[in-house]
Amino acid sequence: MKASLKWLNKYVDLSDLSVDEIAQALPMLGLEVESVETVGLKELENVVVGQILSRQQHPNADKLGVCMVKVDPDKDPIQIVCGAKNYKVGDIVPVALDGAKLPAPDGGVFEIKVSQLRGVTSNGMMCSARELGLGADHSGLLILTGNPAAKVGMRINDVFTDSDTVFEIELTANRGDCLSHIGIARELAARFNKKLKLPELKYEPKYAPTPEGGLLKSVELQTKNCPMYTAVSIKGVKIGKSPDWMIRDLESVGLRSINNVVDVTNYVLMEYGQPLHAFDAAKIKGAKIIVRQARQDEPMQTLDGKKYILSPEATLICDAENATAIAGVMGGLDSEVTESTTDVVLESAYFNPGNVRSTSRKYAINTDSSYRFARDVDPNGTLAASRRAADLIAELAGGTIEPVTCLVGQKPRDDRKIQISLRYIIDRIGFEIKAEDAADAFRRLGFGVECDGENMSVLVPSFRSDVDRPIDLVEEFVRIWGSDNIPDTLMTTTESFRQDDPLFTYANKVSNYLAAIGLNECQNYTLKDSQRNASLYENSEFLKLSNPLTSDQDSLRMSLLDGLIDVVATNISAANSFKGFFENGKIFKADKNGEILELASTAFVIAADPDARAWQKRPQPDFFEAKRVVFDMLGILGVDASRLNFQKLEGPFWQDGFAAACGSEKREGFCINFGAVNVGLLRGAGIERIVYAGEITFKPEVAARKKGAQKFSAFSSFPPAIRDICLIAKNQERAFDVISEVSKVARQKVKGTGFDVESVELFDVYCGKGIDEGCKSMSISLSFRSMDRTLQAEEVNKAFDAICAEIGKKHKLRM
Amino acid sequence: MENKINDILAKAKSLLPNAKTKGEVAAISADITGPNGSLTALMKIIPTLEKSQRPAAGKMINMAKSQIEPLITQAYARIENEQMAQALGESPDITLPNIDAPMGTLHPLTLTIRKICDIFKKAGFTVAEATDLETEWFCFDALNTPADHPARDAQDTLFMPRQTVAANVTKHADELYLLRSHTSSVQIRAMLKEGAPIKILAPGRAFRRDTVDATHSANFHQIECLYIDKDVRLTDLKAALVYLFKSLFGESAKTRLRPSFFPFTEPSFEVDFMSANLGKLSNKWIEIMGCGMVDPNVLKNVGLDPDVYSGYAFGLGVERVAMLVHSIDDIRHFYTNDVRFLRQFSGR
Repeated sequence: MKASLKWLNKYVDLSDLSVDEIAQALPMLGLEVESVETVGLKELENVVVGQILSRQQHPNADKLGVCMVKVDPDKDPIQIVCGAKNYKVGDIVPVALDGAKLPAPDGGVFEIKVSQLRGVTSNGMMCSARELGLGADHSGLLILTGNPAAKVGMRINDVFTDSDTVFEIELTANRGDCLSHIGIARELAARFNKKLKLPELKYEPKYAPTPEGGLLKSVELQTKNCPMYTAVSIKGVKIGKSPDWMIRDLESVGLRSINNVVDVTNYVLMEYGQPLHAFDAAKIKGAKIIVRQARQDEPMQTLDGKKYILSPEATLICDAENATAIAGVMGGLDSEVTESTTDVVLESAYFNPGNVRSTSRKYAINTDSSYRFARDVDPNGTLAASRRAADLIAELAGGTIEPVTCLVGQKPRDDRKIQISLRYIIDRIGFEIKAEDAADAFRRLGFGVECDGENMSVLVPSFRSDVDRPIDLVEEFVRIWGSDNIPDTLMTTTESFRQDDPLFTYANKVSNYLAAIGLNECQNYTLKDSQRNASLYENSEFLKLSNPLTSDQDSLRMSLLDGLIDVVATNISAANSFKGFFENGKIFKADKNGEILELASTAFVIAADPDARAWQKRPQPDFFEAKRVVFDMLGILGVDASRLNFQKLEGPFWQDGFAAACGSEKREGFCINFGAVNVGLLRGAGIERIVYAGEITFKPEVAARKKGAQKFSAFSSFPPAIRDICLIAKNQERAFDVISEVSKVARQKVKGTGFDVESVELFDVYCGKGIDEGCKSMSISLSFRSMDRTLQAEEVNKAFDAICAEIGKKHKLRM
Repeated sequence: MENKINDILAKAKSLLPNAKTKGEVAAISADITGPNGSLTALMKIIPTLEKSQRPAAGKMINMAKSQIEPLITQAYARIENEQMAQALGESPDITLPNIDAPMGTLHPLTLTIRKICDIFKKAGFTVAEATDLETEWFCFDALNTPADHPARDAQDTLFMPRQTVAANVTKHADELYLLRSHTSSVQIRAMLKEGAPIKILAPGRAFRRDTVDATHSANFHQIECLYIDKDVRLTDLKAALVYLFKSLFGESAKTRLRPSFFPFTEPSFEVDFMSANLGKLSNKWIEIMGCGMVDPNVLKNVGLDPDVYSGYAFGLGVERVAMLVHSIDDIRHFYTNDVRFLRQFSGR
């Protein structure tokens, strides 16, 4: 919304306030100022009209003249040194006197002072147009000779009177009332405690649904989207040019003058915030107005010449035959007022805000009218604006206003009373005020207030659609009291046993761990390309958005890993050196029926450059480095990884035979994938090195499983007895299965012995010389320990022999 | 006798500290204290001495023995230490550069979230989480945002198709799923689950249907702060904001509330702050976030009585804070993950 300062001054006297004071006040009222633009001459102090009485050559400078300039008819002329050449003695020019502050080209201020110029006193400066901020002309002094308005000694602002300041104001959705000069003037009047002057309305209509002698035979409202419709008949107007003041006012807020009648509707729109429409009565077929919903696929051509095919949500203004306007949005091409118009029907109506908003959005027609209707116009303003426009048309275009205005339907809302107590306000704001403070704030806003001790009955006028409840009045009080004046207090704390969400705690711990092992944390977008998803993951079709903005971000991410591969590629192409990356975040998976789960995930990649030049080489990362990291992450999550049975993992992301997986989000709540990333995929991404990666994904509640303090479990103070078993297994036999079997047998065999198997650890795998083709030997160390004694060799050997005998039934043993 | 003992002692003192191997030490000690050793031989002649001389001779031999035995032990220890020290290899040039990658880093957004959460944790707030995938009711209706509000339009918010089923995101009725446009939805889920009083922070991702540029991102991070209790007032909101910006930007930071409008708060404010140490942005009011007192309708929607409970809420943009704190000029840096960017904010 553009608001002209000159225009605002018609309703509230702001002449004692600087532009800056107004620009500072508006945001503190909740009206954000996007820009402040001054056209014409800015307000300048100590700049006056002067006449050059004489010029002499400067004794010490060829290019300078020393002038005597009359700047006050009652005082002696003053001496000014000047370098310009375009003047002659007798010329009238602007003169900046001592203390004048001129606008500097850099946006700052250039202050004029009495000074010595090459030894000669200069008491001011004669100015060019640019020096006054009146455009770019700096070729010489601004010569005012011949300007009848310019008299010696006058303030320069009295010569250039067409200056104005325009505020571009960004309004929040609730303040439709401020989409008008009167609305903004009302706010400023409240803020600066000034009187609001509304235009005097001369036309005092009577209202009737179908007035005798009017230009319309009937008005029918067939839709709830138009609860109230008024039409004034004005006969015998003469279409012509608008007066200069109106053209200026309209242009100051960016509107183009069309003709006197159309200009009046636009002027009143900007004045009251009520959109109006002037119909050429001769073009209203059947002298009938019908407001109805559009028919399916009904065609419509708006006055900008564009054609639309409408659906029934759009509300139309129609005559007996055709649609003449999209209600509240834009008029039709056929009903416009033109030079030949003599009779005018002036529409002022209230349209349902939601309907106007959706229609305007649907057809992408944004007009000053739709913007205001969508933010709820004032139903009483609908009537006032109509009277104001009738007055102005009669004044500017002549014609006779019919004494009766056609009014169909009724106001959808009106002024309303809200009861509020001083205590209620104080309880919300937290500081003491007096009842009179609140009453004063409300009155300044134009609200009616009746006080009964500390209870108030506040009459909120219909122009404030947003003030409905006592809490809304609290906000109004704070706005006018000034949010700057809310006193400072200290923050209070309360005792609380609530804990951080375990997912947050987990994420902090796992991030600290992953950063500590040399990885850099990343953030990648949640939105991904659905085609890429489809190439890597199952059931990705269920994760597509219904209204993506771009095709590369049309789907939810299904893993953090592909994003991390991108990060590796980005950093390689930037020639950066790094060890690897990780990310914590949400991912989404769908099952084959399309049921989506939102999951927490932590993923990492280790992609150190094997060929990095270093004065000493380090062993390269391998599968078991990735496995270590995965197990540590599981430990932080609270999952015991030692018992997990990993299976080989295949898939487009992984290198066959070098990746492992375990778990399912639906069954155990978590799923683990890790291993070497598919070499083809890496090379496709421009990565020519081996990358190990891992990801654990889990239902967020898994992070909450680890609860309470861990209980201490006692350990033995006696030494262990170690025995090694070495067995031959087929190459394809998995270490996990062999260890589990040995462990199971060992635990069986020590039952009742009074000691325990403390650990079963595989420490060597060998194949080659001495071992059958296709086989491997596995060396497993068994540790036995008792809680209450040092073990004797005999008892350990007895148990160990039993274990070996049992294992030997299935495997060949090497002793 | 005495001379002989002194000779043996002198020999032990000169040989043992110079022995190179454990074998040499063994040989030397055998030579002295072994069965055929020189000291052993002296022991053997004691019985042949006159009775009166025997105690003195025995004493002298024992004294010699007690001096020699530690020399042997020390010689063994010295050689073993030397053997173990060989594992160290050559003594390095201690000025050679590190070989391994430096410690990793936490993302500046993580660091900013932690920083803000730590500030509020001191005042008794704790972290709450909810899903990124939300429903219209939790994201809008419950937050007093009517169905025809512009924020709910498909131009601004990312929706899932009508038939979407999300197993672990509960719906209120049959509303659409969407990607939450703000973390305020966590307020609703937390209040429904935990009731009041409640004092929470909700850091997380939010999504807008925005074209990516220097200041816009398809996803971004917010920290929602909510405090509901009996007698929470506007002055408490201001105190929390003043505390936040002093904690973030130093005690000279100033905070200003400017009236504004959000459907879920009444009164509502934009918050501006001013700091003396923000480079080009120093000593200017900087718009930073929206806040307000929770609208009575929101409390009703989660079953709390607005005549009993009141509270405040605000939503802080994490990227915006991080950009201000670290003078980062382009939001896309956060999502490009170039290590030259990531390593600048390690916070170690």
